[in-house]
Amino acid sequence: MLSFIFRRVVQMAPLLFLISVVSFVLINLPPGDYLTIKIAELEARGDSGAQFILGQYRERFGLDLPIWQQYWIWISHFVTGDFGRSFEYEREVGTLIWERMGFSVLLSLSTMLFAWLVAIPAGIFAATHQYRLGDNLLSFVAFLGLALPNFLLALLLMYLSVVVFGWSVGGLFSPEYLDAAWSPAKFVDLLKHLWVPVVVIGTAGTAGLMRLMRGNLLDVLRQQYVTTARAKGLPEGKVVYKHALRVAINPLISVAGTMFPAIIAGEVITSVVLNLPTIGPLFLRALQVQDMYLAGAILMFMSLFLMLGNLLADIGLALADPRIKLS
Amino acid sequence: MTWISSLAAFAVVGVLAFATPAMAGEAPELEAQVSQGALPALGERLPEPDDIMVLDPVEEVGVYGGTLRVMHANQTMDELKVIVNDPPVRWSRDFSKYIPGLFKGWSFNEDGTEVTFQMRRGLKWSDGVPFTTEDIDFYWNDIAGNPEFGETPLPYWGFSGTEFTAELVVNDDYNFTIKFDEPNWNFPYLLASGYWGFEELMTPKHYLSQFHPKYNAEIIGYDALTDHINWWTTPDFPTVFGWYVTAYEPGVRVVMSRNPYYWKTDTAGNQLPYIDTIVSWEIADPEVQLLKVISGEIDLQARTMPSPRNLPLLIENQERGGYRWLDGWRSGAGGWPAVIVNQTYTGGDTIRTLLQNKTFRQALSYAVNRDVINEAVWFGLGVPQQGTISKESWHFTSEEGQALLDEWENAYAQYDPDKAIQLLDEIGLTERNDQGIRLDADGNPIQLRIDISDWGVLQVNQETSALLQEDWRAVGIDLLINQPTQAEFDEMARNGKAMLMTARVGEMDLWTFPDWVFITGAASRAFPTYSEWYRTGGASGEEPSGPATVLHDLYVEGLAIPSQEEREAIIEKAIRTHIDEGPFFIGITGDVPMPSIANARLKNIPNYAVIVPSAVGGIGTTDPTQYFYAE
Repeated sequence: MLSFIFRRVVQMAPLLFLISVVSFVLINLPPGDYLTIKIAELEARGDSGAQFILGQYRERFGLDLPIWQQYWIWISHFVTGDFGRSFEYEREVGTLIWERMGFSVLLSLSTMLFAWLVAIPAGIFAATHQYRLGDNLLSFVAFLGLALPNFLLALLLMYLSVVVFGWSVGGLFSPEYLDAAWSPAKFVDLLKHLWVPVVVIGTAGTAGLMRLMRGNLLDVLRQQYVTTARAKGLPEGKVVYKHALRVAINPLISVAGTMFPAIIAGEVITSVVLNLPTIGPLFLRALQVQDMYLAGAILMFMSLFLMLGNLLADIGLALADPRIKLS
Repeated sequence: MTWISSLAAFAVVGVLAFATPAMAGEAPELEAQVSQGALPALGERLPEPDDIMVLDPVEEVGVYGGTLRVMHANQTMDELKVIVNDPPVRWSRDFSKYIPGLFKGWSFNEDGTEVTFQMRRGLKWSDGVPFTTEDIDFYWNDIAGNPEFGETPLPYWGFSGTEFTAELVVNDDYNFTIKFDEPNWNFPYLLASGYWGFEELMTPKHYLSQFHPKYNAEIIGYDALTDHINWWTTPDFPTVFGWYVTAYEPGVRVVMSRNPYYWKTDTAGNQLPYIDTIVSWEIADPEVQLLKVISGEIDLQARTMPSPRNLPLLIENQERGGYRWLDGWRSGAGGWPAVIVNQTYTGGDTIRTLLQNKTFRQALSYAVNRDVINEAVWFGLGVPQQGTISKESWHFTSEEGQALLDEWENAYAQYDPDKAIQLLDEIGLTERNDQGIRLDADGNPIQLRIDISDWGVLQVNQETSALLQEDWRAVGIDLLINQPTQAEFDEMARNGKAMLMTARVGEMDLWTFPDWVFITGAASRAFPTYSEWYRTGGASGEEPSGPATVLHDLYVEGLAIPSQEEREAIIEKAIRTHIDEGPFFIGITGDVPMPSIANARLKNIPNYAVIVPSAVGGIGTTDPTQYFYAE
């Protein structure tokens, strides 16, 4: 087990290196650089001096160097834990990401929890009631969830939140609780805000998970050992939950490994709409203005999370399924 | 109680009621701090009596208190900066002239090469330390002029060509002189430009030197200074504004509290600002910004949410949201949208020759059905017109100015497709292909390309372009609509690769913001490679010819004239060139009303402001420090 983990971790290094090269190139691929955009913004507000300071800034940010040199400067610092400075925020990339990491993790965990709590029972129900009204209804809702764009759902729920409940929209807290110390009331206020993004981001994931659960369980329920179990006279509940489900759930554990980075990528638009202080909007803005160290660092972290998630999922699978050996 | 005592009581109450504001003189919270000994008395906090800036309240002397809730779209916080902005030189509240602001005054030497500023004596930073020439010197030598600290660039106005030649001379604590190698009669007014004219100069030495390696031996490198250089993201950064930042939560909000040392009072002697706190929320999505406003969570907004298309919705929800539409606040847009015609197009000589042909451009202008576009894009809210600078501009206050503006607005702006066809035929574009598109000199069908961006409002540009396509095809000119990414658009515009560009045009002062009318070294959208030539002193770009040289020489000539009034003759000549040789930017509509709103209880808001042009700094010019909440 330990040697397996060790090997996997060692394998990550070359992969991360490749990812770093590809993401750096991709970020630099669009025409222009951060300064082009910065100067354009200055000019758009009428700052006629913008052109004169272009050269000064380009030198300062090292944007006048060839790209491979820029890459080397970035990556050689990156491995030592110095992720560089954000051009736009003029602050350490590490600090910027760290400030928002807490809420991103909170949001991701809540969303995953929501998705699993809804998807697994719904998937089981759909599988055991195949092609009946309940199954069709759940499948309809699931496909609707997959098809509805997140931002639209977010806007709808926010509108409801304002018009029906009269709650303050956007963010994670109402203004009056932002400064307040933690209290039950503040927690309730957080929940009032959190349910919107959780439902919005969770819906798409829930739909996929539910369909996955349903399909797997249907597959397993058709297998011979299930028929045998039924023939032995085991009650249906035991057949489904003890025998079929434990096998059918394995693919969901694999999927869990990819969920965390997927949620960060998936929350971008939702968080912009809902005004959440998470990594998503930071990432979007960094890509838009070619704030390359910031964008690069977020991409690297997301890749790292994906790999770690996969590793954890593999370990989880081995624990859940005695047939799987880590070798 | 006898009638005498009741009368006496009444009189006492009356006197008290009358006397209270004048006696209080400062916010109750500050008064409390003074009585606890935590803060010096008001008299010691204000500048010397002669140097206090007294603001005449718009409606009445106000009362202290309240929080102003505003919003910004991203961490640059331009929308917040225009509110708190307090530049050294400023526009008068009616946007008609320049007046002293943070600096008490200025004077020129004989030939205009030296400008001496008088600072206000006894004026203090928001933490109580005096604001003196030492801070200016610190900015000049240790911040901007320090090549190792690249964060704050040298000010653009100090450059002569590519060399930085301006010099600072400190005369005493409150007087300093800036020397140029050429006359610079316009210089003080550059400091009134928007909020950035002063933003980088606001460097409190006593505060920033603790992060500066030259002053603090424990500091290595400039990262610490960079971390603290932006007043809007650094809590407790001393300002000279009405408020200073006390809390900053990235991605969420910034909180500003009253500056206890603020240097302005109302006419009754009460220290400003009236409003205690400003909270600015970071809200990136335009739909959410709108939702926040109509649900009554925003007290003042004029620049965050610029699409006037939201106006009907905003007006409808006024009562529910507890706000009112500031209908007197003008956009100042002389073209919104306008179509810039690139005069130095570098993508092909045949098209370039056409774009440079004024008859061709005039034909394009005649072919535009502006009324239809106004109805479709603005619901009829705008005014169909040729592209101009802001009609509110001080260049148009005289009778002659008004006549000139009138002529400019109407030049080639009538919808007259027959005339357009006639003009296009006259310049020899008579051959057409089977779709009716005219052929150029090389025998190819003429297809212009319009490059649109979110300059103005993206949706406005998209819809306008679609309608232009119809109008121009009707006279035999094809139009391709192109929507590049922002970076691509900027590159194209800079290199002269963009052909036609949608834009929002508006400016109040052509001496500080010349680029819509004159050609200078600053990047011009209509003459990009020519302006590069002027900027680099001929090292790169293209040698200018034609009307561009006239528009450049006029500006240089104008800057050498000391008197603002005499310079107006130059403005007239330049605009005349635009009328005769233009249009260089084809205006579609202008003067669109802005979706500016304020909390219904907010008082002292003038019912006139110009929002879009950069020169005036928008809301800041209306003196938000004297806004107050009615009980």
